[in-house]
Amino acid sequence: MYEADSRDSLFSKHLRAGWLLLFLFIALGLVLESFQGFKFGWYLDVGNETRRMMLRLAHTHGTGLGLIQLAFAFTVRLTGGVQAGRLMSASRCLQAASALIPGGFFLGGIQVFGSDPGLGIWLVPVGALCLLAAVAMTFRECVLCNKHATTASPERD
Amino acid sequence: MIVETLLAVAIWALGLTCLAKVFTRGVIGRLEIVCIVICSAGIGWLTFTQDSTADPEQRVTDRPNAVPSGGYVSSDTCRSCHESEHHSWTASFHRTMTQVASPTSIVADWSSTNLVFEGQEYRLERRGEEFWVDFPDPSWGGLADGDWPRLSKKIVQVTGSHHMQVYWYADGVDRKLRWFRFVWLITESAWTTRDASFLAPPELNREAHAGEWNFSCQRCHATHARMRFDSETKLSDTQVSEFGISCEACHGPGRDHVAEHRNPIARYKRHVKEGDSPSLVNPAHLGSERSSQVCGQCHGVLATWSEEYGFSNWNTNGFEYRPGDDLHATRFLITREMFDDSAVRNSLSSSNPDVFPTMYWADGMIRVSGREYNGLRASPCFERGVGSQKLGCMSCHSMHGSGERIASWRNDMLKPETEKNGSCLQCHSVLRGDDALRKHTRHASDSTGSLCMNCHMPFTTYGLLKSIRSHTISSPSVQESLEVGRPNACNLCHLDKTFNWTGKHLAEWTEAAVPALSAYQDAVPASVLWALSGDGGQRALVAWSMGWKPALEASGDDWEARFLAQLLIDPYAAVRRIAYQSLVRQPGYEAFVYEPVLSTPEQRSAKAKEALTIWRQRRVDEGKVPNALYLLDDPYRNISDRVYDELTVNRLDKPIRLSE
Repeated sequence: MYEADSRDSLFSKHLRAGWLLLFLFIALGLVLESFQGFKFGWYLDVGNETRRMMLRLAHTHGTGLGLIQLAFAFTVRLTGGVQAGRLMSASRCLQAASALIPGGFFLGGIQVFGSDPGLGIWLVPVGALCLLAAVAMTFRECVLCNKHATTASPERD
Repeated sequence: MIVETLLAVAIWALGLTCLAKVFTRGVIGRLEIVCIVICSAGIGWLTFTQDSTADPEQRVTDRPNAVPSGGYVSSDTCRSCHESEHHSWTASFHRTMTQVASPTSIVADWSSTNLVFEGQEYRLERRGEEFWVDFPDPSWGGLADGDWPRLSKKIVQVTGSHHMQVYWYADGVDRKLRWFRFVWLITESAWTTRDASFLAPPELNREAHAGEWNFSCQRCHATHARMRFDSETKLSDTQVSEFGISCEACHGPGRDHVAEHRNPIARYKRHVKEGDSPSLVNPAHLGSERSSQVCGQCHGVLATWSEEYGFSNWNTNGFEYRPGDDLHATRFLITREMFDDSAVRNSLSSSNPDVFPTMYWADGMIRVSGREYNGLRASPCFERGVGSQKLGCMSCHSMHGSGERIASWRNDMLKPETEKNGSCLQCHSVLRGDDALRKHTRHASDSTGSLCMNCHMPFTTYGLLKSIRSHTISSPSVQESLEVGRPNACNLCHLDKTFNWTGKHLAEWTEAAVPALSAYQDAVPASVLWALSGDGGQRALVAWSMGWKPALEASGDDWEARFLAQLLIDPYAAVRRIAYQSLVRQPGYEAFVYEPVLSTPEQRSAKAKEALTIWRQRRVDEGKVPNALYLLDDPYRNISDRVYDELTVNRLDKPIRLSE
C-alpha cells in the first residue's frame, strides 16, 4: 500500500512539474518571440548577444526539462518492479536540475557582464551535475528493473 | 594539420584492429587493409605537400603582411568576448584605414573609362577578384614624346575608406609598395591625382618612390607596424600586427589579457569587484592626459626620422609606446612652444625643413588635419584643466558607438551631447540655460552662433580636401587674423562682413582694441580678401566656408558664386576642387559639372565663365544688379572692378604645401 502511494505521489509530482515547466518556458519562448518581433534593443542589440543566448538557453532547457519530467513520471509508472524509494534520489536530483539549469540561464541573462552572463550562470553547472546524476540513477533503475523482470519471467527463457 | 594527424592516427588504430582479425576473416579483412593503406597514404601525402604555414597571409611576399607579434593577438580574438565593441569598431573608418586589396575593400569604380592625365593614359582593369593598373613607367628617363615603356601592376593594398582611397602596387623586389598615381574620392565618386589630393603648389609633381607606405604611412595606418628596413640590402620586410587601426592600437597588446580571462573564476572576480583588468588598458578610464596620449600617438606631430628619436628600434620593433604609457617618454612631440626655442627649432628644421611651414600657422597653432593632439595640448581647457575638468579627446569623442547612432557616429566619432554644447557645459556650467547662453554668445540660443564649437573651434584646419575644426580652443580675434593669417570664426561665418565690422563687435563685447586696418580691410569683406588675395591655404578655407550651410544662412547665398567662379581657375587643384564642391551647393548650380584636375586650363576657364554667367542670370532673374563689377547690394559688398583686379593681382602666390 505504502509502495503504491509513493509511486503515485512520485508520478503525480513529476507530471505536475513537467507541465508546469512546459507552461513557464513555452511562455518565456513567447515573450522572447515578442522581443524579436518588436525589435527590443535590450534583447536584440549587438551588445546583448550574451543576454539573448542566455534567455534562449533558459527557454530551451526549461522546455526540455519539462519533457524530461514527464518522461520521468511515466518511467516511474512503467518500472513497476523497482521500489519507488530507489527512484527518490533521482527524483530529487531531477527537481533540483529543473530549477537550477533554466533558472541559472535565466538569471544569467537578466544581468550580464559584457560577454559573460550574470552570476546566476554559476547555478547551471550544479544543475547539470544534478541532471546527469538523475539520468544515471534512472538508467540504473531501469536496468535493474529489466533484470528483475527477466528473472521473474521464466517463460521468456 | 592537427585534425589530419588525429585522423591518420585513428585510421591506423582501426587498421591494426583489422589486422588482428585478418587471418580469421579472410578476403573481407584483406580488403579493409587495402582501403586503410590507401586512405593513410592519401592523408600522409596531403599533410606533407601542404605548406607548413596554414595561414595564406604568411605566404604573401610582395606586400607588408599581417603577423601579430610582441603580445598582439588581433581583433578577431577580441571579438569572441567583446562583440559589441568589435561591432562598432568594424563600422569605424579606423578599421578600414589600411586593407588588403579585394573586391570588398576597393570602393573605386574600376570599370570607368581609362584615365588620361598630362597626355598619358592610365588603364584600369579588373581580372576576376584582382585589380590591375597599366600605366607609363614613372621611372623612365627617356624623352616624353618617345615610346614610353608601360608597367602592368596588380593593386595589393588600399589605404583610406572615408574620404578618399589610395591604391598601392608592389614594387616587385620586396615588401615595398608604390602609390598608384590616382586617388579615388569617395564622396564625389571621382578620380583625382595623388598630388591634387593634397594642398600643394601646381608645380609639385612628386615621384611615387618605393616604400612610401612602408616608411611613412604604416606608422599610423596599421597596428604595431615594423618597417624592418635593412640599410645594407635596402630591402624591407615590413610587418604589421594588423592592418588598420585595430583594438590593440588603443588598448595595447592583448595576449596577457586573453590568458588571464580564460579562467572564469578570475573573470567573475573582476566582474564582481568592478575593477579594470590590469592586463589591458581602457583609455576611457585613464584620465584626460593619458587617454589623449593614446589618440596622440597618431593624431600628433611626432618626430621619428633620426636616430636621436629612436629610429633603429622603431624600424625593427615598431614604436615602444603602448597605451597607458607616457607618450612623451618615448616619442618626441613637436609643439608650438618649440617656436620659442631657436635651438630645437633649427635642429628640427635641419632634419626636416618642411615640418614648420607645412603644418603650423605662424604663431605655432597646428593647421593640418590628423594632428589634433597638438591642438588639444595648446588649448587652455587642457593646459589649465584639472582632474575630470581637464579637456581630453574623450571629453567630446567616443571610440565606440552603439545602436542606431552608429551610422552618424562613425563620421567624427562624437558623443551625442557634443553636438549640442554638452561637452563644453560639463565644465562651463554657468552657460547652461538659454539666457546665459544668449548673453555669452550674442546670438539666439537656438542658432548655430550659439554652438560653442562654431566660435571656439572654427574651421581653420585643412585636410582631406576640406576645412576641419581647429582643435585648439580659442576665441575669435581680428588681430590674430591680421598677424598670422588664420581666418577668425566670425568672418568664416559672416562671410559678407569686414574685419572692421568684426573688430568693432569684438571690441564692444570683449574690450579688445579695434586693430588698425588698411583701406581694403576696412571696406572689403574679409572672406573676399582671403578668396582673392590670400595664400593657397586661406583660399581653400574660405572656399569651403562659402559652401558651409550656417555661413550661407548668416551671409546670404546670392553672391558667393561670383568668387567661387574665380576660384575654379585657382592655381591650386585642391582650392579648385573645394570651390567646385561649394559652388554646387549654391542655388542654380546643382547640375553644374566641372573637373578640377583632369581638365585642361582652357576647359577650366570656360567652366568658370559658365559659372559666372549662371550667377549673372540669377541676378537678372531676381531683379538685382547683374553687373559683375558691383556685386552686392550692401555697401560693404560692392567691390569695384579696380578693387577686384588689385586684390586678385596681389594674391599671395608664395608656394604653400600643407602636410596632412
